[in-house]
Amino acid sequence: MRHDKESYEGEIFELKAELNNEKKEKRKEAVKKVIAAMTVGKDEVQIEMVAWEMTLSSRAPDAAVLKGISQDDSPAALLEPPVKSQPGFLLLSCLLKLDTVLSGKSTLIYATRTSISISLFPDVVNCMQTDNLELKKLVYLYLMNYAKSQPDMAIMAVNSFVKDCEDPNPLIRALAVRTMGCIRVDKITEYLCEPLRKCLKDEDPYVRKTAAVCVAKLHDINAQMVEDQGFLDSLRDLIADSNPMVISFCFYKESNVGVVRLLHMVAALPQQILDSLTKECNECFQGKTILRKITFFLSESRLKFGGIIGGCFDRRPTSQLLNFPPFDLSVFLSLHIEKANTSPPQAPEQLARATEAPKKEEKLGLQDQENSEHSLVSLPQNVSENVTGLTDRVVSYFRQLVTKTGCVLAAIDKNRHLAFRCNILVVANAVAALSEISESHPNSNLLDLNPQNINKLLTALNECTEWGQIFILDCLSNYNPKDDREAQSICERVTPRLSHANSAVVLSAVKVLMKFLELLPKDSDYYNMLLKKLAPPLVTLLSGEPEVQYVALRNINLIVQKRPEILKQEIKVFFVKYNDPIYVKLEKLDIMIRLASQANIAQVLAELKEYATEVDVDFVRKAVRAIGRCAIKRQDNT
Amino acid sequence: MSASAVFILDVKGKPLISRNYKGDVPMSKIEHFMPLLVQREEEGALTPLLSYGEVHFLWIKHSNLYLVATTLKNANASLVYSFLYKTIEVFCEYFKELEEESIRDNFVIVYELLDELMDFGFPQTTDSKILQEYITQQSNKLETGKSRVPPTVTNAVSWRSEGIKYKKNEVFIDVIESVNLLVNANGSVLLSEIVGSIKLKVFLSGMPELRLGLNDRVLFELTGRSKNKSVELEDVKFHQCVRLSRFDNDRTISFIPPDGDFELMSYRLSTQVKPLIWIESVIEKFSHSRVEIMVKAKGQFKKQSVANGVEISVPVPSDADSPRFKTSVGSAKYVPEKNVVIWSIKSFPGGKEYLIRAHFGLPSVEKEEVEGRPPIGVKFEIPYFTVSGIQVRYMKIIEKSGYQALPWVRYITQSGDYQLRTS
Repeated sequence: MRHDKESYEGEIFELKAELNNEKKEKRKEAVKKVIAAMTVGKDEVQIEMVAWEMTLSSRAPDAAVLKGISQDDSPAALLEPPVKSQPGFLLLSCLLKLDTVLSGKSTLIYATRTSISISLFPDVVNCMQTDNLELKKLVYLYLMNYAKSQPDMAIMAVNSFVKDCEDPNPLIRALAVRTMGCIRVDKITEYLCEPLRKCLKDEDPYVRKTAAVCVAKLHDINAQMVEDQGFLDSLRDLIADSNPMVISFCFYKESNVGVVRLLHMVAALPQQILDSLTKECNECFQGKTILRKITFFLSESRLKFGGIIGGCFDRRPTSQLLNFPPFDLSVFLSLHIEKANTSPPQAPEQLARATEAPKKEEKLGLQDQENSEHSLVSLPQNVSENVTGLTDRVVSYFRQLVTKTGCVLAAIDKNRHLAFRCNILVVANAVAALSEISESHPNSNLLDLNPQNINKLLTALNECTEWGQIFILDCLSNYNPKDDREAQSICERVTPRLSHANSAVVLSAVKVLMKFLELLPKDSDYYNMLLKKLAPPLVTLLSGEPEVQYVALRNINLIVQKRPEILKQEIKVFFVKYNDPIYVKLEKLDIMIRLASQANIAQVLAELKEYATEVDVDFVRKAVRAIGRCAIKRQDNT
Repeated sequence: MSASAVFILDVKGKPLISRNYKGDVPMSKIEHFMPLLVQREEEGALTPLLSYGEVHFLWIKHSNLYLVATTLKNANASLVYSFLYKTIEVFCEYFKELEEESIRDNFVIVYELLDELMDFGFPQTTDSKILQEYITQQSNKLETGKSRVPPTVTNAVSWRSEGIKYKKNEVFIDVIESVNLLVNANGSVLLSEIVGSIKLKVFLSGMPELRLGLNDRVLFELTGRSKNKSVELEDVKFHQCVRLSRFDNDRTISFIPPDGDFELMSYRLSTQVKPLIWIESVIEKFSHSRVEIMVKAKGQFKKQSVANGVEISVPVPSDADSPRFKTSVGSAKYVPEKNVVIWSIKSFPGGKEYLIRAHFGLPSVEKEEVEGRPPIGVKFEIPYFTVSGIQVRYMKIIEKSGYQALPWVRYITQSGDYQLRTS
């Protein structure tokens, strides 16, 4: 696509002329050419000018030109891979591209851009109805960019948003709720509440995690509304959205994976079933080593499952259940049973609906192994409509499951993700959102950090993504433990994070530890051990990217002022290297002065002398001054 | 808490693409970024964090692009930097190379990725392998049943998808140790550390459970084994798949690996080891006439081992001319654009000692500005050898289908940041 400069300029001239042509057809062709040029990435100043003229020339009524292009399917193939050549797709890519090219230009362009947008807005909203996910994403992006300047127009999109929040595809539900939060228009937020509430209880963790962040967004726009609508409570519930998987990980490596998996299911059962189940399990595993672990597990698993399961099944039509493999069915049924327990009125009907599925499957004549499970699954068919009678049935159902672990195993594994997903990400996002909100209310204890919640967070810490760990650690650093024992137990569970590869996780963990060190008795063994543990990770941070080094050094500078003993042995790592960026050099210099002591002063001075002969005048000046500072510092002692 | 908006700027500071996550910083503020950066650079006070009024810019540079995050608050800076670096990693996985051109050509997908990587300033899913399962270069049609959220995104094991299959199950383990060395002009070692990294290339079916055994001194002490031949790891960092609390408890490295290449762990040791390649240099500068350089390199490692691809770069004044070399082994090359002589030796056995003499002319008119004294740098690679003596004792692979998998181990030691100051 390279042209020599001259012909390129000629081309530009022609384009400009065409853009101002009388005939609409000609103008249309010209606009196409400009877009093509933009798409191949020829971003010379001229192109911008042409684009500028294009925006001018296609003012209000002429926006039809752009529109015309979008409905014309032939040039699309020229620009994008064939799959993307749908009408509408091009229109949006053009608009976004224009936006990218023109962003930050004068207000005049902004005005014309807006005028195009207004006349095209209905078409854009029409595109929302598409079943092409990428097109949908583009529309959403476009709405995010324009809704603020065109609040009235944005209202047009509300209906589609609400509809998308109900879409069977979780990706679309999440996309809709995410975008709605980004459209910072008051009128839209009113409509946001209902879908958001649903999404907070969505069956899919991906949607829930997005919804959690959306609460923070909403709070940013309209704090009062968030409080009035009780979204904060929903967020707090989400923190309890943890999962037995966490606990089970501690004996994950047991060869009997199936048992562990099974326990996930068990953990989701309500309290009264659990109690009787404890007994049952004890019998099942009599004499086996795993017995102890199960009892432990059961005591740990008394987590409240809140409303997660509540909304889980209303959405899924019974017919769809047929498509699920037997194991999932059993999980679903057990969930149904739980639901039945929590909301008695609907229970019988729902159970009846749910149990239809296995019957049908029986007709399909599934073979072998699946059959045997299948009979297990169909057990709850007999479940009486009497809710109180459920418990016994479930127990016997699980007992059978437990005894037939072997055959369940394969099926379980096939569908592990559907069994019980770890929704740690949801927890992390909920924590992040709550911290964000509480930043604007310094006095309120929004997160409700009590020992019990802290414990939940610490449990979640082990299984989170790296970013989730940072949210949780940052949140922990705001907590005030009531005594040194609590502080120590938190420290014990935070210390492993010092070995994380992500430097941000390490620094956040260091922050928590530094804060809680205050509370520990100074002469305890644990205190001294912790001090020793802090040095190596801090030193390792210095082998990261220069920016990370810089942040680490700024933090180390503070740490050294507070507790010089941590790094007093490590002064050599702060010696300046030839290729360090200047900002790293200066920070290192400052830390060296702070760490200088009787024991290492000779070494430090030799280094500083070396730096004082470098070429960078600024650095030399600082080095010389550093020698002076060392001298003043040593004066008191010598 | 973290970034308000993320911008990708070209080399002139013009925004190529941007994403506003929180909407509390006006997007036009980015105009101030470039002038500020230039100004600070002139003042010699450039930092990775620039502030304009109440807006803070956290930036990194990658090839010809600037990635800038803006924030109003006291954000978690290290979170932002690691997020920006992660973003680069993801883009590189998608577009091979991340530069102006690739952003322009893929702006739709860049928008999509920015949307998925972060939400309201909170980083979300940043694992490129998993992202590629639902954000693809080709557009997806919903009716094909694709473009669902892969369950992996919200799974506890967020780095590995289910149902991976290989005909042959294998794991390749690379133990790579880099030696960082800083020696001052009179030949005393200021800093010597070993940064090791264990990289895995995993071709395993299903959801395997892996356990790696090293000759870790702390572990040996725990289990009461003799301390011989064990290594004390000073600081260990693990990939997110490793169960950190287990390691903290009983030093077991257990994990479900991601598929393909990844770095399982890195470690650091600052135990003093004899520098593997020792350099003695005499650089004599006779103003207005010539520079005479004599460099002696000595391999201070086992005789059985051989260092490959040794490259010793010796600084020379920028106005030097007419080079002449005499080497006992290898070849020397003058690289005027870097102002160094590079002496390369293809294979350098342990215990050997080699010598180079170089002679340069200097112009009779001396130039005015003073030159820095860059250090002598050394590059090398010693296969089948680790300085620290670390060893992979076993790699246990357990998958419930019970297949047999073979682990392959390779050791290598190389130079890291290996600098010897000159006088």
